[in-house]
Amino acid sequence: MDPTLSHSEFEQLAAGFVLGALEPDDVETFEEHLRTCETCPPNLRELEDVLGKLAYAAPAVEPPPGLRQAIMREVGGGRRRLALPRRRGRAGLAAAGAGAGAGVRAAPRLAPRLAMAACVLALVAVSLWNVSLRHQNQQINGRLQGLALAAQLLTDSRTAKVQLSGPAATTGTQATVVASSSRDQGVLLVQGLPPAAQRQVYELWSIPGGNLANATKAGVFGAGSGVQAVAFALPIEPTTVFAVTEEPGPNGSPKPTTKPILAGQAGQA
Amino acid sequence: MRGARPYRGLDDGQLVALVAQRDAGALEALYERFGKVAYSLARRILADETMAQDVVQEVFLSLWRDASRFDPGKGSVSTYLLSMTHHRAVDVVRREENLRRHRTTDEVLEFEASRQDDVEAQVEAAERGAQVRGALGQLPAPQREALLLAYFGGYTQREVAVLVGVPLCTVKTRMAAGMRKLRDALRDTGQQEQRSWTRH
Repeated sequence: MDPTLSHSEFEQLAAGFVLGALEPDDVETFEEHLRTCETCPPNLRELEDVLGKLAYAAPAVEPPPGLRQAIMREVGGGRRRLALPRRRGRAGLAAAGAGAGAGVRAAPRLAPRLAMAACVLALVAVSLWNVSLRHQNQQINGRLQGLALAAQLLTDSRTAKVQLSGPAATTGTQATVVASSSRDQGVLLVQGLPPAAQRQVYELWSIPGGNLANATKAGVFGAGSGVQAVAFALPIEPTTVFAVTEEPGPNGSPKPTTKPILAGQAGQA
Repeated sequence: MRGARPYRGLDDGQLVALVAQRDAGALEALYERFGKVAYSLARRILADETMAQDVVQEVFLSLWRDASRFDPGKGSVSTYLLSMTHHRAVDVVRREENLRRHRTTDEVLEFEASRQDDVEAQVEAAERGAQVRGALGQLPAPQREALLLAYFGGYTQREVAVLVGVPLCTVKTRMAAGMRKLRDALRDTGQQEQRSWTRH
């Protein structure tokens, strides 16, 4: 802290600091002061609030429609992105494994190889396709990422395979969630789902304790040929229920608005 | 329209929580709420359509990447987004000196000229704008001048001192006094109004 400045002088610097108008040496002085001062941070937050409101003084200009499209294109056009696997230390893995508890069936040893083989075959098949539409490419990339993650998760003996049942299953749909409680990651693999109604999409939910009010969105997808793969990264407990509902497209809903057509509990695997 | 239909009943904080879960629809809903004011701010600072678009895109993609770091205890979503827009636009205007060469300080300060039109407009954002402009209008001219040159012009305090022809310490005092008065004036407009700014 600069001993030559009084606290009222630091209070003066706060306005320039928030406005980004201080000279570099003043920024350094003020930041040094902030580390030890208890009264300046709340004052700073109030001034930051003023800064946000000042934006409304700018004459309103309609942004070009392409701006929204560019942003949404960058984030994947409404599709959930595949999260990178979280790394955990040995202690974390052990604790998570114990937390998964009974009822979570270990995946068969053959499953990883089969899944990996399926993934490789899918990759080869896709490389041979002459796909020209961007949308199709995104769908395929998402499916491949999902299959690759499923193959990866199935190498862990604690990974569960949760069979989903419900009205859709009676019409030939097969749906399984590959769920790793130690990594809090999973993939829904679904086949034979009929196309959703017009302007509707399918939405996958992770529901702690089976309480719909606590449902967390896990992914949005449409019906397609072959196996659909929807990857997600959310906390998974033995009491977690996975469910699929039909929701308004293209982005789905923040909470389920229809009855699940498929559901299954992680602990029942 | 305020927010995509399924998200309309959610407040800004709930939308950010959904964005943290990679919910692109929630990000789009936030864009519908704040995209226009963010773009208007960036356009005002940069006076360049392409650069303003780049800034706003960066801001929303930054929220997409770092939504989990957003701490509602440290401020509202609108403050977070619009402050970030301001900082990024100012960074650009300082980097691109030629942008400033095409603008006079009078252009930076011309908010008063358009005030009447916006007051008459019946759109929600214009009402908010009128409120902030009203608060700015109540400031003594030297304080308003110092604030607007820094906020919309991206000038540092030392640059403002040169432009206005007063000592640096005077600019510091004016900015501090102006911000304090704005804070009090906008706080006086009531928490009720503030809630409507961030919940739609």
